[in-house]
Amino acid sequence: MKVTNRETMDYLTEEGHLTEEGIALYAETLQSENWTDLAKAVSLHIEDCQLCHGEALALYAVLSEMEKASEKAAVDKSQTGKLIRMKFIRWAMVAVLAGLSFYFYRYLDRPHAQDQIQQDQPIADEDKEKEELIPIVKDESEPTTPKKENTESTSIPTTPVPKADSRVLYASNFVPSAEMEALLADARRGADLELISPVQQAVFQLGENILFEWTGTIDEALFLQIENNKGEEVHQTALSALRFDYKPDLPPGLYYWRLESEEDLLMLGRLELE
Amino acid sequence: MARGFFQEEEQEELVQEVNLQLLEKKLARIRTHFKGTVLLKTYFSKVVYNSFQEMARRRSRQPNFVGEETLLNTADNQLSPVQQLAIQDEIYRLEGILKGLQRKQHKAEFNLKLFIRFLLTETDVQFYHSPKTAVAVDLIRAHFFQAYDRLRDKEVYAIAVQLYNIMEQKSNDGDSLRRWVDGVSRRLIELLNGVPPVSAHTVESLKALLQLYFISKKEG
Repeated sequence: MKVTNRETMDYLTEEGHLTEEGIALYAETLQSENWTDLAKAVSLHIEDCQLCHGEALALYAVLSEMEKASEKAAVDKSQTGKLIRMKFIRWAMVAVLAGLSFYFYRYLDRPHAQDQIQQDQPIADEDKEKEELIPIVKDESEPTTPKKENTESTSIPTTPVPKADSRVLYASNFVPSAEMEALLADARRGADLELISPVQQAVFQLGENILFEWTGTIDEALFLQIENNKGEEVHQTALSALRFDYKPDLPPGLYYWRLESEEDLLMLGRLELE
Repeated sequence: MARGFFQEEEQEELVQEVNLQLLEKKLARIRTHFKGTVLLKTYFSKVVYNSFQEMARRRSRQPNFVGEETLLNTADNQLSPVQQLAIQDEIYRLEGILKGLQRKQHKAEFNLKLFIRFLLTETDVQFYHSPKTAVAVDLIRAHFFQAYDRLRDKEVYAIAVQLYNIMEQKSNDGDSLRRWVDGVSRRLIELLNGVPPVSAHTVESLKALLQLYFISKKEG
């Protein structure tokens, strides 16, 4: 369609009122607030004609309502999509953790277990080692039945399970939270605040103090929350200044902090305790 | 529907009628008249809006006027969905009028807040920060950042005018600013009520509407 120049176009009807397109142009300008693009003929007429001004305001209200509805629909859609993604990520994380647990359980601790057996029962040669191993793992319900079993498969139950679990648990303390990482990716920032410390993804040693500090001005109450990578809150404090020296009494792991006002999330970050 | 021209149960019938009108009469007219200086969506919305107005006229429907009764005597939780829609529509129209003031919009909104004794915050004065205005801004902070209902219009505008005298290099008194605000509020009432009338605003209902407008703006 050929687009007509706004300044040269006639926006007035034979009755001397704005055409539908003239009304639409004024309503559209109210939305964009780009007054330089509004034809002078339209703005002059609107100033003097209450009827056309009223028509344009009514159209502006309709457009604003439509925009609000479409924004709401877009938010609903993105939240649904995000929820599905989050659910998928959570299940994927569970699967990865389960896989890791199995790996630790099945392989990583096997040589360690054998070392332990060797330390407890020193043996001279391989045959003797096999002979010695079998009684350790044999089923108590069949004490007299000699069995020729593969040492690899039978040695599994001798693995010190609690030790493997603690390694898995330790590792799981450092698995990033998909939810918080997504929020970090949004890079939300407090309008009038700037972070001084801790730098994002800072690593602290156990027992080391963590200094939280921001610059800027804000006239609202502020709260600092710290949560672990499983989303469990481990600390919360109401800030009386833009500085807070925190002495953590926490196990090693990945932690996220949020700075919030009464109504809004202002800033968030990630840190590690080693 | 927000204005009370139509009932919810008429919705399907109305949509069908408008679609028919568009197909039979309006599409050809749109082809002839639409010059492409605005978004088709905006133009189309205007055409559809006009169709509904025509239908309301044909059916001799009268709007429910928004005024003191809706805005002052009904607590929020007692408003019907249609009334809430009507108030939201009224807030949009008020926003449209204020935006239309262009460069005067900020001054008008600032002084209309004083007019209804709305608590000011840093956001309201940040626009005015400068070394020259520091004292006047401090005066505003001291008086209008906490409840100031007890102050009379004369006292309120005597404080505020000091800021505008510096900004606009004038030497007006508070009464002159008060008269300007009265003029703005009269214009708001006139435009909101419309020709032909669609609302029945008074100074009191305008104050209530301004309150809702500033709250909705604050909440984003």
